[in-house]
Amino acid sequence: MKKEIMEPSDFDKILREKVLENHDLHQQEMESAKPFVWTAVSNEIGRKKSLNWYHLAAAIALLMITFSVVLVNLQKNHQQEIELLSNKIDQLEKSFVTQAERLQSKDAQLTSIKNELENVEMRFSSMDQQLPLPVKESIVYRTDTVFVKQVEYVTVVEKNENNEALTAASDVNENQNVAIVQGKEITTDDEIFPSSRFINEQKKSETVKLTFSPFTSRNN
Amino acid sequence: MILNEKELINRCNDNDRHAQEFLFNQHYNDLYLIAMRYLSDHHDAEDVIIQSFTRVFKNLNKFTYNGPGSLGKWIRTILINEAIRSLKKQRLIEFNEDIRHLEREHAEANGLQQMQAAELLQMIEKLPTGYRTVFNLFVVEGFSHKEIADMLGISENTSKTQLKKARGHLMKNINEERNYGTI
Repeated sequence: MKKEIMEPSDFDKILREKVLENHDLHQQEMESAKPFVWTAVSNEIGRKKSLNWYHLAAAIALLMITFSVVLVNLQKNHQQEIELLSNKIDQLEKSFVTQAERLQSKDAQLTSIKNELENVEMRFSSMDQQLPLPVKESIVYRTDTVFVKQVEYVTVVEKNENNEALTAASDVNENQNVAIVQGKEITTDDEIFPSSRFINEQKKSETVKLTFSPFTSRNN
Repeated sequence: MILNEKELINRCNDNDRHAQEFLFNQHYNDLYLIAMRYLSDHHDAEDVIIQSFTRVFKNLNKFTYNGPGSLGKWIRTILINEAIRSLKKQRLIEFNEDIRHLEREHAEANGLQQMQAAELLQMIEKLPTGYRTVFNLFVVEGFSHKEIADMLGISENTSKTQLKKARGHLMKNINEERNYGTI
């Protein structure tokens, strides 16, 4: 039998054909591993994608951009508000100047009115002194109620006709002839002025007679 | 449920779970074998398939349909990229550029034709990671050395060397297997 030597290309060609042929090599292992492999594949494709580093980086970048935009907007709003406020303050300052001028003019008016009023007052006060005071006799002014404790002593001298004859001859005991009568004591509860009672009291007091003996005298 | 690819894509984009499962079942076996060719480990292959299908369903709305078979090709590309990413992540790819000890092996056409596909696939899976990756990308997927160099971050020469070594390794294994003579 003649030995036929192959070229490498022929060798490769035959080998390729053989490899791609149907064969049952590893058939058993292949079939036994199939359910496990499919389960693993279905689990992998059913699993949600986990976040990679570039996803996180993108998320952080987006967050930073959003925050910076928000910050810029805030700053813009703030500046606008500040501008509005400064404009309003300027307006207020302008109006304040005009108001101050008005106030000064009002003050000047007020001082001139005051001066006029003083002049008028002066004129009237001088005229007032020249006018006579009105007499109002019929009017009783009740000012106040005053309570005074006053002890009134009334000296009563009794006229002894019998003794009149004896006066020339004998010493007369003054003490026998003179009696001290204590009059009515006015207590603090008594209203002494100005009431009709007081007038009555006065009338009563008028009834007290004071008689002095020509031969008696007061010691004290 | 018989759906054409366009309708299937639309339904998957509408988050129809049945359509998604249908698409998964349609491509699962092919993707498993491709993943095994690159990774030669069942757990790694399953992980890469899970990641690839997840990527497919999440990016299906960006896919532009260019006729029948375009969806399968797009899904395979995603799986290959995921497999390479997984190999790079695990730092499993090592590119031995020393070609001094490269033996010139020649396989016989008759012997290779008589071999079963499963046997050949097992041989490919047993290749060192660097050889296997470049071999798969160049021979099976049809990428150029420049594309492979860009994908793996290596030079074109490295890619060529890795392919030569992979071929030599496979030829040796095939010859040993079939007990045919070598040069």
